[in-house]
Amino acid sequence: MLKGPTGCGKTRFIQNMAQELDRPLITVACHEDLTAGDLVGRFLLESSETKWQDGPLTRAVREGAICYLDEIVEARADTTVVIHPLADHRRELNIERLGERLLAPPEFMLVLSYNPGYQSVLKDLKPSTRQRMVAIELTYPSPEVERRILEIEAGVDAEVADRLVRLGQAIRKLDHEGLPEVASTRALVSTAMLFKSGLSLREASEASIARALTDDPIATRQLLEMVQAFVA
Amino acid sequence: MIAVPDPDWFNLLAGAIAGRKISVHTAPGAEPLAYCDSQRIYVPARICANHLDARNAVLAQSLLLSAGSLDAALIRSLVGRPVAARRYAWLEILRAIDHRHDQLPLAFIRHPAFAGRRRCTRNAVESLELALGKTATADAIPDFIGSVRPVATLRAALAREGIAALMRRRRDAPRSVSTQTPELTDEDAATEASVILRLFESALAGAGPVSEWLKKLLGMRRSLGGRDTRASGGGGGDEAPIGRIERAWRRGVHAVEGTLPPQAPGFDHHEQGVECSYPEWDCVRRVYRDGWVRVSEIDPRRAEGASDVSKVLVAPERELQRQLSSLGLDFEMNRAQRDGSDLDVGRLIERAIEMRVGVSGLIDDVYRASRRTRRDLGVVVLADISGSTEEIGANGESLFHQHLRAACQMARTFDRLGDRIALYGFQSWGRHLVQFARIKGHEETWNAAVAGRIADLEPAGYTRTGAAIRHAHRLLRTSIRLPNRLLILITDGFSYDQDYEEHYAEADTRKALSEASAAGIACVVLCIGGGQTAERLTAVFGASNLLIVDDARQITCRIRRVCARALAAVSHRTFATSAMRNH
Repeated sequence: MLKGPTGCGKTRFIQNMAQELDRPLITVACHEDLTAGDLVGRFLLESSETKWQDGPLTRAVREGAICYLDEIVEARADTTVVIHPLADHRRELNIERLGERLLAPPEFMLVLSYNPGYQSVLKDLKPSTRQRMVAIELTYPSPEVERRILEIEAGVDAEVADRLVRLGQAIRKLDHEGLPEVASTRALVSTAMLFKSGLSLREASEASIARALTDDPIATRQLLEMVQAFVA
Repeated sequence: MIAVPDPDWFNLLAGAIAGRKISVHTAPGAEPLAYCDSQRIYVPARICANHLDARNAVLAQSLLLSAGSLDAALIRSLVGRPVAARRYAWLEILRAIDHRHDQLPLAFIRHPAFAGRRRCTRNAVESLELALGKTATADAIPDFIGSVRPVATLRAALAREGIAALMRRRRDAPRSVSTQTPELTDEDAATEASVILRLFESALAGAGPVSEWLKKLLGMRRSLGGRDTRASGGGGGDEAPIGRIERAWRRGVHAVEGTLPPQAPGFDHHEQGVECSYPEWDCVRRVYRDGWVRVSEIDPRRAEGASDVSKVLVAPERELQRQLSSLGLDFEMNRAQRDGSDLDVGRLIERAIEMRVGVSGLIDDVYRASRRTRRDLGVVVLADISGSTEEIGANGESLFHQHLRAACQMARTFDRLGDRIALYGFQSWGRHLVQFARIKGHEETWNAAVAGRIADLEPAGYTRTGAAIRHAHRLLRTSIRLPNRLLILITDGFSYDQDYEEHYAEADTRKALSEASAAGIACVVLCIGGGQTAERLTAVFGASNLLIVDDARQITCRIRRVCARALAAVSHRTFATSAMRNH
C-alpha cells in the first residue's frame, strides 16, 4: 500500500518497479461506481450467447502480473473486499459466478495506492483491508531532489527548476481552506514541460498551478500573485 | 496592462512567506511606509499603486514576521524612534534573506537594493542594538522595506491579551452579575476599558504626550458613550481591536442583564404555532436540565412593514446547483442498462424473444447496474438572525444580510433540485423565548410568500444555538423523515443569551451537535464574517463540518465538500451502529 499526497510519484514508483522486475503491470483507476464485477469479470452477450470476460484483477492473477489499484479509497468498501482473500495467507481469488477458485502464482503482486490527506473523513479504507497491507509512505521530495527531477523529466535548466521548486515549496507551506491540494511534483513537472514546449514560465505556472489548484476566485487571484512573485 | 492590485491579492503570498495565515490591507491615513502589526500587513495606497513595489513590500513584511523580528517585547524600545525602527527593519530583512535564501522568490533576493549587501547581525537583539546605536550605517533603505511600528504591534498584542483577560475575568466573576442593572454594567464596561488603557500607559510610563497620542490611536475616550456606540460597530480601521473588545464585553454584559423584554420586538404572536421544550446540557454539573428551553415556531411580522431585501433575494448561481446536485444521493439498482455488472434477466428474456420474432434495431440494454441516482435528502437551513448579526462585515454589508442571502440561495437551490428543504431564522430572549421564524416550511416550494417572510425578518435578540439545533434535529426526524438528513447552521459564531455564555453555551452547542450526529443528521456549520477566531470556532463546532468564509462568494465552491463529508460521516456511523446491533 503506497500512501502519499497526490502527484508525489506513487504511480511512477510502481511503473518503475514493474520495469525492474520485468512483470506486466495492470492498472485500475478506482472510482465509486467500480463494482466487484468490474474487477473480477462478468458475463457479456455475444450474438445470442453469454460469454465470460476476465476483469483486470483476474487477468493479473492468471498472468502473475502486478495489479495496481490506484486511489483505492475511491472504490466502495463492498468492492474492495474482493481483494481480501488475495491479500492474506490464502492468496486466492474466488470467482463466484464461475464457481472457480484461482490460486495466485508467486509472481503476482497487489499494490494499492491512496492519498491519506484527501477527503479522509469522506472516504476511508476498511480496517480489515488496511490490516492486510504493508504500507510505504511517500512524500514530496526535498528541494534538491525535486530540482533534479524537473531537470531530468522536463529538460529545463537549473534556473527554471529552481524557480518552480521555490514556488512549489511555498505553496506547500500554506494553510488555507480554499486550497484542497498543493502544487505537486507532477504539477511542477507539467509546468516545466509546458515551458519547454514554448509557453512563458509565467503562463505555464498560471495554467498548470494557479488556475488548476482551485476554483475559488479569491484563492485563484492570490495564487496568481504568488506565481508572479516566484517565477517572474 | 497591469491592474492596480487589491491588497488582499497578496494574502497567500504573505502566508507562504510568513508561515502562517495573515492578511494584507491598505494602510489607514497618510501612512508613508508598509508595516505589520503581527496580525495584519498594512501597505500604503501609494505603494499599492505599483504592483511590483506592493509585492516587495508584502514580501519584506512577511519576512520580518517569519524571522521573529516583530516580537512586541523586543521592539518596545523603538517607540518614538522611526529612524531607528526603519534601520532595524532593514537589518532584519538582510538577516532573514540570508537565513531563508533558498525559499524566497529569486526576483526579490536579486533586487538591486540588496546587491552587495550581506547580513551584519546574527539575531534580532543584535539588529536592535545596531539600529539604536550611534554607529548605525547610513544606508539608503529602499521604500519597499517599509518599517517596524512598535505601537501598532503592541496594540495588536494588547487587543489579543485584553480579550483573554476579559474572558478570564468574566469566567471568574460570580453569577450575581446578572442582577446588576444595565446602567451599572455599562459603567463597568467603561471601567474595564479604562483599566486596559491604564495598563497600556503603564507599559510606557512617563511618556505623557505619547500616551495621549496612543489614546487617539486606540480610538478610545475615558468615558465611553452610551448604548449607541454598540450599533456603530463595523470595519473601522484603527479602532477595530479595542472596539472589538468593547463589543465582546457588551455582548456578554447584555446577555446577563436579566431584562427580558415583555414581548420580543418585531413579532406578532397571534400566529404562534408549535411550541416545544428541550433539555439543555449543564456542563458544570454534567447533567441535562430537562425541559429547560422553550422553542416556539412563529411567522415573522415586522411592525414597521416589510424591509428592502432585494440584496438578499439574489438568484443563486447555476454553479451552486451543480455543486449541490450530487449531495444525498444513494445507490440504487438500475435495470435495463446498456452496461453493468450483472445481466438483467427479465430484460434479457424480453430481448431474446424480440430477436427470435425478428424485431430489428435492438438495443443491448440487458444489464443491471448499481448507480448513485436515488435522491433522498431532507435539509433544514438555520440562519442566525440575532442582534449581533447587525454588525457590518469586512465587505461593508451586514452579517444579517449575508447570512440570509446565503441561506436563501442554498434553500432555493435545494428546492430546485427537488429536496425537502425548510428554512428558519432563530433568535432568543432567554430560555423561555427561543423563536424559530419560519421562512420556508418543508412542505411548500419557493414562492412569493417566502420572499415576503424574509422581508418581515429583523435582526434582534440573542443566540441560543443549542436549542436551535435541537429543534431543527426534531424537525428532521419527525416531519421531514428522509434517509439523508442535513442541517446547515449559518452563524457568526457567537452564542450568547441569558445565562447562556462562553463555556456553558459552547458545551451545550457541542452536545446538541453530537446528539444530532448520533441520530444520523449531518450537521454543517457555516460561519460568515464575525470576529470569532478559527480556533475557537473549531473548538465549538468541530473541524470537519465547519466552513469559515470571510466572504459569502466563497461558499459556492466549498459547500459541497463540507456537506458531502458531513453526510458521509453520519452514514458511516449509522452503518457501524447497525452493524454492531446485528452482532
